[in-house]
Amino acid sequence: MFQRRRARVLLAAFVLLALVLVTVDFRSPQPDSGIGGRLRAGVAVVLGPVQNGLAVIVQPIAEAAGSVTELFSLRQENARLRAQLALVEERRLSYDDVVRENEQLRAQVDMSSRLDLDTAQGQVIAQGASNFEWTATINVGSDDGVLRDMAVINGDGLVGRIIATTGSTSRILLAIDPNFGAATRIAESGQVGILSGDGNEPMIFEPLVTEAVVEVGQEVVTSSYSGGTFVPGLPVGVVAAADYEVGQLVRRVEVLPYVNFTSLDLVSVVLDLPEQVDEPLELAPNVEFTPPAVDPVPPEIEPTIPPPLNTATPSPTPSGEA
Amino acid sequence: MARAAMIGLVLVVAALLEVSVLPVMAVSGFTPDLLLLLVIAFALQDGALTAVKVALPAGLLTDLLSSNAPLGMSVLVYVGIGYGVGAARPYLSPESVTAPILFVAAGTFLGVGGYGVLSALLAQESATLRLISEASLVATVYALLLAPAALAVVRYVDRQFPLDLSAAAQ
Repeated sequence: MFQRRRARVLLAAFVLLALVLVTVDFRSPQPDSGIGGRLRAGVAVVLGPVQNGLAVIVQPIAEAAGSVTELFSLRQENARLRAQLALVEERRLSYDDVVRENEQLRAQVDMSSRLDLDTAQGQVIAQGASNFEWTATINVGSDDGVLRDMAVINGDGLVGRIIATTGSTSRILLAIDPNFGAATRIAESGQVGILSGDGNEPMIFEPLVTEAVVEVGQEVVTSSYSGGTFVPGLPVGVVAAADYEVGQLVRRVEVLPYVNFTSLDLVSVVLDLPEQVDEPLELAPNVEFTPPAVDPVPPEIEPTIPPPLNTATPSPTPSGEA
Repeated sequence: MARAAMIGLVLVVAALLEVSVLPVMAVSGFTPDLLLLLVIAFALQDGALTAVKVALPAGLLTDLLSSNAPLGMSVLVYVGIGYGVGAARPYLSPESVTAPILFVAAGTFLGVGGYGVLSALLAQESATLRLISEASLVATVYALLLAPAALAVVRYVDRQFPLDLSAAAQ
């Protein structure tokens, strides 16, 4: 009986403690500066080397296991890749020419080559502990020049954004996390919009212009529109579904990411920051717009009498005189 | 003291497995919650008091290894589930095989679902109902597969470092 009572007392105490922790951590304005941020950084520093070691052991096993689970989708993937290859071959013919032309034009307008990104290579050593956040820990940190809000890519495309760093590890918010947001554009048409994660695949692209023409198969790349967080032009994925009904207020275009988020391994942190560093898109924008002062009393509108049409025209004569 | 250290070690190892090893074996992107599973296993083996005691460090560990959710959210869920399962334990027959399975399933489903609802309220506005139900279902099935291992670990801990009943009764 004592035990049961003690369990109940402990339950109440721990629930109270948890509520206090949630409140304190929830109210800390900056995710890094509060007590939670510091504790998390401490845990990351302590567990980082262990996770690093585990990753070395786990990765080969993961690759083997991955090839077993992917066995069933291999044929589909093969067909898809063949189709893609044919498309690429078709485009390749003129590619060299376009590259040369692009270089010449860029030299003319004195623009730096954008593909020349400065990166730091890292390996994924852990992923988020909860089922409701999509994060990954990598083994490069602030010692390697990694800062918060930097873009993370791999050979396929955009992986995510750095949200926390310690000396030797950093944590990535993956692009499929619902809290992720990025300014992007359709590569073919230049239509800009906001890309956000939706848990697992697919991702959601919301074009700013709802009725914009978006077609299945078009490529989505990052954009520097309105002070985007990322270097423009990083590939993100392809449009998988783009239904539109007339009069729709918010349009959700489904985007299949290029990156396979279930088997992340080697990634690169883009050390270049976009031209103007701005707040990440998903945070509330800093509203500086002040509406113009409205005169509370509308000005009296004087009734205006239209001028007489034409005095020269003879007024209609009264019928009695005719 | 040795028992506490052993449980701590088990929790840390489970947490490391959860963040480093399990993600590569995720089913449609979801992984089982190993620490919650351990809390349920302790509740089934040793009762509510132990479960609540284990739930605090286990929840803190989970919270410290995740980054979006506020600290203490997992503690809340784990303590609640641990107490609930532990409080129901005296009503189960000790030989029953189905009862632990049912409790692991119900505990995981409620735990992961509850965590999802809390994070929808506090951390991620876009953690949708579909996402939460998907995650809890996958985690439940996965937890059932891992439950024998978790129960075996807890039984091993109990055998090596028996629960000091006289201390608990004081």
